[in-house]
Amino acid sequence: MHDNLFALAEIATAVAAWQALMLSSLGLIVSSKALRVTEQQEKRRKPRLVPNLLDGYVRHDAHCRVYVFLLSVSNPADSDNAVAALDLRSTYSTKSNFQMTIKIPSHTEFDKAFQCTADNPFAIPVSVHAHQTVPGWAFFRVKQALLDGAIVEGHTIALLDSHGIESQVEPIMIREYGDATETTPC
Amino acid sequence: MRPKPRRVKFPIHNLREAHPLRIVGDALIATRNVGGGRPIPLVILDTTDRPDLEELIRVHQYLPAGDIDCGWGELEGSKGMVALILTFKRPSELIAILEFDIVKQGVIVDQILTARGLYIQSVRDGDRYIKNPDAPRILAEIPDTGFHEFWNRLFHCPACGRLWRTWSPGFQKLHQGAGLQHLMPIDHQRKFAA
Repeated sequence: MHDNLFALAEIATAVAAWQALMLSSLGLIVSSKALRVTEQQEKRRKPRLVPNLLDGYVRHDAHCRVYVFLLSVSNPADSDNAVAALDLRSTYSTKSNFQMTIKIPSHTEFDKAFQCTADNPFAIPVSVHAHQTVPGWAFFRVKQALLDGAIVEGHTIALLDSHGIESQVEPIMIREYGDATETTPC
Repeated sequence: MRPKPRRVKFPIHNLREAHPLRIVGDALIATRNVGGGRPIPLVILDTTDRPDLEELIRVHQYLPAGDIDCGWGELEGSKGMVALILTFKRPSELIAILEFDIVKQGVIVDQILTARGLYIQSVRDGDRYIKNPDAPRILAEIPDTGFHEFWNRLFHCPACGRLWRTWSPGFQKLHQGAGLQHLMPIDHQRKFAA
């Protein structure tokens, strides 16, 4: 009789232990899933701006060359952000064959030569709300004397957000404005 | 709270930047519309090995005001010298280290700290300011990072002795006769420069 009772108690204990193990395993799975979701949410909240280059022109005159780019800046993050600074980085070789990169800040004034861009200038600072895309034309004015005798090797457009995080986009082909106006969609 | 000196390593872009630039000339420029008319020191640097800095000075005249970080310190193995580490952020990213002899060039450092600014010019445009007053130069703002207090202790002892020795006996007599003996020569120099 006593032996049967002991055996039953042992069985009940083993069943309870198994149930506890199952429950704790289930809890572990649920909590790890919750942690993963939280981590993904945190990742989505991490500030990030994605610049896209839609169009780009350059116009030369006697004193300066003006670069104009149609940019769209997307914010895929869950938190609001803003473009705090916009630079054109020109890499060139000097007369003494030395490579140099300079940062040219975006020009705040609208260039009258680019009439078609008047409606939508990219005026810094620009706020970009969560999951929003902001388009606009950015101007960069470079004095001819600055690049006098230099060979321009490339350009990069860099934007800095309110958190100090930098994003870059590289224009490959920049069209001469005079030649391209006929095909400009504006 | 008084900041404590600490050992730091700063990143450089290339090996050239690790070497301090040689100062070949200096001057003091006071203009009504810059820094409220305070005399701002000018250092003319030997940029033979630093074409990047030379180009930066050249392009700076065609671009809006740039951005610069600065810090004072002592380079390893340079006793009796203070170094000014200038980190240019725009229009181009580079580092320039200027090293000053506390006794011989301390007056320049003292004036940089008083004026909170410094003009930098390349030797290519002449090693004297008077030879080419319109040469391109950069005006770097040097805010007080807490170094002024250290500098007062560093500079007063060696510099005062040197200034007393260089002053003529007649001037020393005049100085005492005018009842200004409580003022140290450094204070005179600072009064003039402020």
